[in-house]
Amino acid sequence: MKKIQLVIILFLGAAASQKAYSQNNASPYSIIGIGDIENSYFDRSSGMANSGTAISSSRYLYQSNPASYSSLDDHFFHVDVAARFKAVTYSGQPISSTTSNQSTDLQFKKITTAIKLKKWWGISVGLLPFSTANYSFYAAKPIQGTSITANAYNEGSGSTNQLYIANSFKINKNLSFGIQSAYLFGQLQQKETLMTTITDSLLTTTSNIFLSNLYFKSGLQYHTKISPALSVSAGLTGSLQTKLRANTTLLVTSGNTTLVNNQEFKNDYFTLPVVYSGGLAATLHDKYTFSADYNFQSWSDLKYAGTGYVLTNSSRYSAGFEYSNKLRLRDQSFEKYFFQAGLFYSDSYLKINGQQLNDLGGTIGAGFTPLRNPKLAVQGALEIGKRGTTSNGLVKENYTQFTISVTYIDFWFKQKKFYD
Amino acid sequence: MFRKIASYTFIPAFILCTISACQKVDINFNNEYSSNDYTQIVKVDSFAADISTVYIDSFPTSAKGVTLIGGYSDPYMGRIDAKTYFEIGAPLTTASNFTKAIYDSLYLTFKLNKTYYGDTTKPVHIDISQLSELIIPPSIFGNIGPNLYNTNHFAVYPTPLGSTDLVVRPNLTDSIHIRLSDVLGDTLFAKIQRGDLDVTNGTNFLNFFNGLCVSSNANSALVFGCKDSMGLKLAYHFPSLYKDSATVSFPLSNTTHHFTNITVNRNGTPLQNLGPANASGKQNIISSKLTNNMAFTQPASGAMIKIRFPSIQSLLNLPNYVKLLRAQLIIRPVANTYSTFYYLTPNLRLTTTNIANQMGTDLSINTGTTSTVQNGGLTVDYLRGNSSYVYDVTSYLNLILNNPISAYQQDGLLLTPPSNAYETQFTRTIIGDKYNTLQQNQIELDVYYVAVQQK
Repeated sequence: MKKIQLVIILFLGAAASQKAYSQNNASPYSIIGIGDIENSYFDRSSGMANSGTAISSSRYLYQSNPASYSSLDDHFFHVDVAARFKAVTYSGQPISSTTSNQSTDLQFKKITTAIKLKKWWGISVGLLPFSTANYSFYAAKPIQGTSITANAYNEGSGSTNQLYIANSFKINKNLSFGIQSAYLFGQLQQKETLMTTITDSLLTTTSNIFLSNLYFKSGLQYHTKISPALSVSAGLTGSLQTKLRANTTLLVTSGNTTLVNNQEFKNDYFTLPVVYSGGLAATLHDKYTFSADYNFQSWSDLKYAGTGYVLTNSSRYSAGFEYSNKLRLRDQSFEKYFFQAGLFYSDSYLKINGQQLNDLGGTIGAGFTPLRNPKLAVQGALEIGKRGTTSNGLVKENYTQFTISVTYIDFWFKQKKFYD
Repeated sequence: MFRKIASYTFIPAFILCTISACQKVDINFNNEYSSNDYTQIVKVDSFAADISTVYIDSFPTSAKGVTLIGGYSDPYMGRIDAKTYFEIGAPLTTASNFTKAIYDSLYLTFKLNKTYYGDTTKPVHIDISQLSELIIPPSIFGNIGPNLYNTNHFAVYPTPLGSTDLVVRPNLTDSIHIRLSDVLGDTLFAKIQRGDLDVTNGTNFLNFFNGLCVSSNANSALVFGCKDSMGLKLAYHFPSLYKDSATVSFPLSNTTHHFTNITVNRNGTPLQNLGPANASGKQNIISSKLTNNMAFTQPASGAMIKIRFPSIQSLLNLPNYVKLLRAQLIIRPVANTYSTFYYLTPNLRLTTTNIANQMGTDLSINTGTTSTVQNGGLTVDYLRGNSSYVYDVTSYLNLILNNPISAYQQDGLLLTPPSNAYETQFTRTIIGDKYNTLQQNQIELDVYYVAVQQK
């Protein structure tokens, strides 16, 4: 019962923390689409450049592939929470010399739980970020019919998140299948504040786009031992094209006076593309793990385009290495700590002014399990990368982010047995 | 166990959430990507501002503190002449003081108030005439009314007491003196020496001397203003080695009977048909379309401009219209109708009016807690003729937008100088309508409104 209480409290805490999403880093590119789509899983693969499609664990939750949960230890209850600190330095022609070019934030990112209900069936429930938007800028807005402009302050904020339940089934000794059913929901707010001498009061336009729909992701994982020292695995995941309902409300105020309050301003869709990922991993002596992932998002089919930009097919390549130090007692092993490193490169789905934005970076990670309290594991990952370019009037983001996640594992429902 | 879980997972997570720090930065890499373009500020200047010239039947000119003298011929407004009527009071004298005194002269003194209109290079003819009847204000419901009007006039003796022709330089000349008839001077002096009741009792004096009229003739090309501190001065002296001169003053006695009569002859001008509605061949309002796309304001001569916005209600039907933000009325005097002689009215107010063309409320502008009547903030360009008055008519347009029958009521705005200048100055402004051949003369209504995309 206390565990149920715990889960409820943690989810409430996570829900409350959604407010913190509005404090996320300024990301000028998040003005397009549904914001910056999250590439991180905030799990153990974070230190391996998120190359976790082919990896599973008896101890850790890998969010990349829903098939991975069937590898968890039987009758254990898992809880993961993660937070991330991110600092971004911006450069490029739009960056004014008079304003700061740095932004930082610290955010709660996820909470997930999992349990192995049967030997062949693992289940996970959690709340994960899907995308975030946060931008703000001053611009001169033309007053139609004149050559003069009004000062406009534009702000965008919000996020989409997925509340998921994933079922993972062991089909045979080597093959697992999983499906993640998520309720994807969120709110993106755009606010424009017009300041002009034409009017004494501020003219504020706030549109809220409420996005929601079910979103499915399926996965396969295959594990086999090539030799007593070497085991290899492969993983595949995929999501079908999904239409998100996008209901927009509009509120226009002049000072304290409401001019327009339209709760049914627009009912539209935002379509998420076909996404698939493939990964390979190899583990040597149960110590050294190499992993590589490829992810593809088919945005071009959706034909999203606007002035100067188009959403285009996106590919992400990543590879990681892990060294794990394990303590062995007879047939049991206990991981004391691990170190990780990874590299990634992606051509993002944003093509602006003819330039497809890319994202390049590296990660290092480490984690440990306290000997005194083996139910707990702590891991951290540092990621350093750059996104975008300074050419074609664009902005380059040099970012550093540190993810810390805490995993707790315990038995689930230790039922007393009575012997007559 | 629960406590342990909480301490290891939830509490650190909670701390992370609550201490989350954020440093934001404003970056505009291309504002065109913002899809929040639902609200626009739009300016339109296509709404008509219809203008016309309205006839002013009469208006009080008494007790304004101004004596108007002269007349001038205006190519647009016609021949305008001003006569000022006033009463003078008995002097404060004691007969015994004048036993040995010798009369010298009688003259009338005016102190200029620096207002003028017309050609200051030409002499002004001035006649001072004695009234042959008492100044009695027109009756209202059988009782003597409080005011005297621009249309009132009183009989004078045919021969003026004095006349002069002089060049008035309003900015240099401090005061002018006009010598009057010595016959009257002798008579008055004799009455003073005798201690006659005619000069010691106010009522008797008024009956003896009904008052004065200051007038000009058709040759005058200037109207100028004087203060109401004028009065008769009788100069005398006592015979002695050193001439011992002194004066007796007959001051203006009753300011409410001090008024200006104004006559206008508009024959041969665009406004020749302007007049009382009940007069044959006259109209009390003439559209600018009938007066060469111009309208005229000079209330002292009985003309003022009415501005109407008959189509403004269609603003409400413009696509996505939500709110009127600001409306600015730019009134442009017609180039070449004004000069340094016929200068533009420095201050012109806008006053609400209706079908009866009665004056309502002056348009004001609020600055903080104070409300100030708008005077147009005239910018003058004598060289190129790009002069203008500018008004914020937002409040007024909001008023008539909320009154669907405003157009039927012929609501509008009257363009006139502020009170007192309205009645006592002849500065005039001629403005162009929207169809005036020169754009620099055209009236313009700039309307800024908020448009919000509806779907």
